[in-house]
Amino acid sequence: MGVIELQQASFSYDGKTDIFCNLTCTISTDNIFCILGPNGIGKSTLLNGIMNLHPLKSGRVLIDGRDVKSYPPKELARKVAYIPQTYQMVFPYRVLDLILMGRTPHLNDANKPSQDDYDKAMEAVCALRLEPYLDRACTQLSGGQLQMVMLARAIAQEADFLILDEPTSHLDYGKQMETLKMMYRMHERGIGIIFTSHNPDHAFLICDRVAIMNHKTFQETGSPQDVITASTLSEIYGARLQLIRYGDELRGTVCAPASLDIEEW
Amino acid sequence: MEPDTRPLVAGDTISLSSSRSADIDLRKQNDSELDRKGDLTARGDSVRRKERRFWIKASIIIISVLMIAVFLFCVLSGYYSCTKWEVLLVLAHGILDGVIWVLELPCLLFPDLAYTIGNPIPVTWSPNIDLVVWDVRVIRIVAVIFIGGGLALSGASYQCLFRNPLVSESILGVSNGACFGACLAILLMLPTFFINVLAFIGGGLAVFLTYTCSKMLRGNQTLLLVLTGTVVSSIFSAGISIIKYVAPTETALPEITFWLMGSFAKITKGDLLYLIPIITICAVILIRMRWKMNVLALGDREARALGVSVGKTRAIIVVCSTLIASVSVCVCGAIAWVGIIIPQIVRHMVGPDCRRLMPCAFFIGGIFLMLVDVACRATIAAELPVGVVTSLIGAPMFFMILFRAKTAWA
Repeated sequence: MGVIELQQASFSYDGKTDIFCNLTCTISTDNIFCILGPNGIGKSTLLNGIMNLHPLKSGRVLIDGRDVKSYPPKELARKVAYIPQTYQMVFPYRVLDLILMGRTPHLNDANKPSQDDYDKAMEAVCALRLEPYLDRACTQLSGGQLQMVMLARAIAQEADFLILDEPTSHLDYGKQMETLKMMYRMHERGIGIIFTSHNPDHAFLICDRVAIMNHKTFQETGSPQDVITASTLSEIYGARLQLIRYGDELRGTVCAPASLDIEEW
Repeated sequence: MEPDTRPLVAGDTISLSSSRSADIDLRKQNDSELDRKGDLTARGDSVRRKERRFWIKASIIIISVLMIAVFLFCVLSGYYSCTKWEVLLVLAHGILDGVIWVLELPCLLFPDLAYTIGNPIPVTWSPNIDLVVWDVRVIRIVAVIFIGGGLALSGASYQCLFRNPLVSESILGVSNGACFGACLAILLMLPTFFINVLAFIGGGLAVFLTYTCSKMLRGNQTLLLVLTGTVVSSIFSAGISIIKYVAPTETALPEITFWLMGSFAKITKGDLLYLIPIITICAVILIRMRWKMNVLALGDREARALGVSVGKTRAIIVVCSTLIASVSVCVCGAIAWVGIIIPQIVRHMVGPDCRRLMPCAFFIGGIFLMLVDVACRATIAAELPVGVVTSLIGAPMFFMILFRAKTAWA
């Protein structure tokens, strides 16, 4: 079982104003961990910090007890897969090639993907029903299809953790559900999921742990039912909100404006 | 603000189960999608692999046939007065000589085995034709193949590395940087080896300046890289002008001027001795790194997240590409456009996947420059500078590509 530990992690772009400071948290592969927080609070920056894409100002990120900074890139990529929020595709790679790139950390230096890597990629393709798109250029895909391709790439990467930066943004409702479902399926296979979101409903639906990021730190961490309350949400989003429960389970909770009167929002 | 408990109307779309571990099956599918493998995978995959192997074989055959045909065409054409049949005989004779030399190797190693194999083709031509075919034409054509292939390959590598289909060694300033270094070496009367070294340093400096300057600015990196490349390039070309201005008019100036015009006419066996090894080694390294280049072309952060050590890989690719560009500048001056249009054309033919793009770019670059070279030396009695012809062909071709593929880069 893998563990990601944040120890007193602080980050700053310019060396003066901290984006976040003294973050301490432990996430294991048993978790589906969601980070909620207002725009521009540093959620993406935190994910980049975990991936060592932006080195931390102080503090440490440990993956399985070892500092990320001491990981060779290849080993780190075998521990953590990362799906960024946006992609800039310059060259129109085929979907299959793009998924195969997830196998990169498992290749020897200067090696091309082998039959085994093709099989792993095709498994991921089948899991996400991407067969019709295999030969399509990835620049021609819609946002939702590209998101599925990225998920397939992450599956093919076979890492212990999957980090997603706002995986459901700019997707239609069905694609959002599909994405959440695949994240849950990967969790069932023992992969730890860490993602950021602007939608508390999603945290209720699939997460077992939620962190509210505000004022440069994790304001609260715990199960969604404990952490996500109407007052917390109203505070972090600066709007008057309420939680509405449907069904007979706590997971069925959605966030909505507290009142229908536009003047009161 | 008490939570409002209301049943959702569209209850059939969500299967509510009492335990948390039960799946949140939104479409009521019992099989877990991640375990869905089945025959489809295997069958589809083997079909794909077969198809792939067929195309690889086909392209190897097509490229080799094309290469040999163009090579023969180039050897046959020229202004020296001899019949085509004689040239073919000379070629065959020379190749057979080589084969016989290999077959007679055991004789050299074991003196007991005294046998000799006679060349079946009798020499019926004057030794001048031998000289023209082997020491002039073949040497030149071999150099042209390596330079054309090398330039196309380094262009393709730069394009992947900087994630920009619009760059090449001349646009990044490498050509002018290398020219500047080489001119400086000629001005200082340094030996040939140092001309190469300074050319490489100049080229490396240029690409470093271009890249760091473009990173310092904010905005569209595709455009900025081209713009800063133009700036760096013009600085080095100003440097070349200064060198020409201060160069002594009796000795260095004519040498620099003729050298800058660049042509394949002066290529000697000695040039091939360093040209071929350097370009071969760099090309092999670049072609071996082609999968990493694929990943690198996704962007630095994604490449790092996929386990590529970006700094190291980038350094190796830049060194190899710059070395190729500098060496070819040393041998034949700056040849524009090959490094940009050949990767473009090949990308249209085989797709952006570097696994196919890189080797194809090398060979098609070689074929292209062979044809350009033969056009330079065999169309009119005087020899045209090769850079002029590549520009005449390359510029309109590039415009056509820009026009056709505008959607791909938007």
